[in-house]
Amino acid sequence: MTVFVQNLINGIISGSYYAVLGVGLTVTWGVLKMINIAHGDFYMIGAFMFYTFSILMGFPVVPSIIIGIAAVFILGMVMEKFVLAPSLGRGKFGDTPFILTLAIGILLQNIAQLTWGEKNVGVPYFNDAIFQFMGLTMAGQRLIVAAVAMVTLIVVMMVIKKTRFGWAISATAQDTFSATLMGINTKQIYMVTFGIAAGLCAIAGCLLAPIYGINPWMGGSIQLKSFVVCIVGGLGSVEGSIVAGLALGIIESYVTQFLGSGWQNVIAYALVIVMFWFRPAGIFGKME
Amino acid sequence: MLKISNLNAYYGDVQVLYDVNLEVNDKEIVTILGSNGAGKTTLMKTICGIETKRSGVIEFQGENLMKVPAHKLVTKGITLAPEGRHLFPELTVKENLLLGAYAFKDKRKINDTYDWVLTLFPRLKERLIQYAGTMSGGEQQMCAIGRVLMSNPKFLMMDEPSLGLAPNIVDTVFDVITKINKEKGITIVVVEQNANIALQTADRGYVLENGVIGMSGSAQSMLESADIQKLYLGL
Amino acid sequence: MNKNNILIFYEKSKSNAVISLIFFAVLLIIPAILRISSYRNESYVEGVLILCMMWAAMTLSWNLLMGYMGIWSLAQQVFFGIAAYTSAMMNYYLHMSPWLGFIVGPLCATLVGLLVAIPVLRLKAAPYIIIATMCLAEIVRLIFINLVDWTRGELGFWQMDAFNNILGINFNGADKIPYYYLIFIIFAAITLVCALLAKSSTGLAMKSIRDSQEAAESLGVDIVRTKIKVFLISAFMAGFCGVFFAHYIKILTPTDVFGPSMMTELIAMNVLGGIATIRGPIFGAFFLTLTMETLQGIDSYKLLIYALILIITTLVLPNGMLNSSAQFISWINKIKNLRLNKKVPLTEFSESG
Repeated sequence: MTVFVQNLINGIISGSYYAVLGVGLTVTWGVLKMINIAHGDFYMIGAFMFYTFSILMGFPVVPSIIIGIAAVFILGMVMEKFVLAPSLGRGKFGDTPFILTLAIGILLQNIAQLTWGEKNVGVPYFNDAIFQFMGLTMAGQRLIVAAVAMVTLIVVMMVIKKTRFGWAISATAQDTFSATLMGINTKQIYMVTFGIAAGLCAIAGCLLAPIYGINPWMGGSIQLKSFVVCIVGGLGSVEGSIVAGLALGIIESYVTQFLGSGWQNVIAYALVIVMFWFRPAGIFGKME
Repeated sequence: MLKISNLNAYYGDVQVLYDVNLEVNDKEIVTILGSNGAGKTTLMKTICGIETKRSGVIEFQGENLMKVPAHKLVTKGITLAPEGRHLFPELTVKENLLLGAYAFKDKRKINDTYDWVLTLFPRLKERLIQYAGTMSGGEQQMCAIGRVLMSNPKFLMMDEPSLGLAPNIVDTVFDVITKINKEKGITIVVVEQNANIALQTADRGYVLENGVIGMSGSAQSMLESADIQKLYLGL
Repeated sequence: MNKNNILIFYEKSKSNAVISLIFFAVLLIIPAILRISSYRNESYVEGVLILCMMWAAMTLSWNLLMGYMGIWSLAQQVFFGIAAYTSAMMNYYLHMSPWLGFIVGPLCATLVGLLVAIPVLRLKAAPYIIIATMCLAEIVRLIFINLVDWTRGELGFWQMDAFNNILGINFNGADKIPYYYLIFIIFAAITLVCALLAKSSTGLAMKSIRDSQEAAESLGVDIVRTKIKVFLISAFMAGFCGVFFAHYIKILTPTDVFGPSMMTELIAMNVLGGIATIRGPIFGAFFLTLTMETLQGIDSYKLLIYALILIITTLVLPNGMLNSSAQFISWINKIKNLRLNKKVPLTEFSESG
């Protein structure tokens, strides 16, 4: 029973980050109508930014994280403005922006390799405490990380549902033409949305860095996981991504327990294929 | 109020409008008639700056609109109720209406306008928390008109407001058009295929054919014109 | 289409044929020229050209799916890798001749092609196809990493046998010429098949599927059959390249042959040259391989330059480098207009909004 609960908690913790990453990707799809294959690389850059500010420059943890996230947010907006914006809407489903994100991904990876070297680096845990509670062991680090993810998800939901800006995002996603007529600067919304998606990646990157370490290729598997999350949740559905992210984390946690970590990812990807077979639009997606 | 001179517009590489000259005076209802594919919708979108490949001059109250980005027009008092309504289907009616006033910040004025719109369309009052995409065509059209009115426009363009609606709802829509023109003094341009009702409501009319303004005149004279009767009124 | 147009079309296709003949003839005689002129870096140049041709063949095979049929399948490297692994494993465990790999490898690739095609058939929207195929490729990679007993896991295989001597041609020496002509034959054959396929009725069906599945269906195109057929052909071609790779490079690791980086190169090559043409992928593959080879000196900036080339070409020449004659003409006209009509521009576009 304890093992069961322990796995559940571990699953929820990693799942909350899949959710954060998936939400970014799904919002990008909803608003810009393109899939971003450089998503994982923004995650990687976020982690490196945190490393730079906290280890190399000696800033305290919280300011480093905030600066790191802000830097990636701006990087995302710059990339959107100068690389993606001129190509949006080209190709049948936005093939051109898709190819461009591919190039952005290579670019970011190479910049990371040149700047920080082709090696693993690490940052220390924020908190070394270990909590024992009814036979469950919880590292303080993981609890902090989970709390931040939950708060992030709640804030994102609130912003989208309740604020003027959130309405503008929904309006642009549903009908760009009409949104323009309402006085919404849709190009700006595109830019900010992409920036926010990148910023969400950076949040995940910064907070997971102490646990998983940092290297220029760390974005690869996270990239595919985020895809899995937003497909299973239904492309464009924020709620779907959150549910799918948590579910994926929990499933992975049990699979690792029973089959070993080598097969954990196989199951996640196989899940997508099965999903496509039975419900191509995702759990929360609308059937076409 | 609005003066268009030598407007050319392109859709990709294809020219759609040729040297269009058009004038709309204060507090007028002007209708633009024309068959399918004549360029009426393009004309509306070009005025709004949605189709940006254009040349010529669009002047609104003495100001040239050619350099004004599309999303700034609503703050200048210009709005378009587009063809096919273009509501936000997954937002509620209330959210749709409030988005109409997105560009404005004066809460009190927005509330007043909101109440006024709901008195114009009592049907919407019952539907406030329904998703806009799930309503009937007539209700959607009311919501679309209500939404553009939320910005308190001085100049309102309507693209095919009667499209796909039952005759009694078409009458309601045109009653509202007359009403807002009389009560609030809103200048209105209506693009219509239903020439009969459009000309009965309007003060003046233009005919757009293959991207060129063919004929213009007072609505009365157009109703009586033999050509119009033959081509657009089906008499 | 009037008579004149048909004539122009005929002339154009004739000139294309002439160009491609010249291209292949030059490739054919390059080793001879190098040998006769006793050029010092002969085997280096041949090695680079071998890579160019292999990539061109791979890109052509993917172009059938993505370019002509509009199916964004990002699992092409799986077909390549499966065939390579099949041949390597046959060689390693059963000591079979690599030539047999050319029969079994592509067949296995075709089988996997069928397995990939089936889930893809159910999906219409490109983003779903992209993600599904990426997941499939990753599953294959992880399976090959995890089945350590059979595939030797991350270690992979190395030092596979070279091709046996055949007809007195020695593949075991340091001489690269036999490999050069082997890949030349594969490349030429794949080019020919792609060109014929593009012109055939299947080619038309593929293009109609790309432009609109609904329209294709209403015209009586058997969508499922066409898709499966093209998937199988494409996988078969990629398989040939894979077997060649296994016994030429002689190192196989799951991440090299199943990882996403090879797919990225295929996309870049295809997009650079221009999709849905024969010359596009060939040009893209040669251009990128040669550029990367020239940049060998500044190795660490290689990928940076690669990414920038991709970004700039995609933004400036959306149809690829070879398909942009219309673009160039419009630029030239614009410049001409600027010079001729400095006072009164023909049309003044305002790009607001």
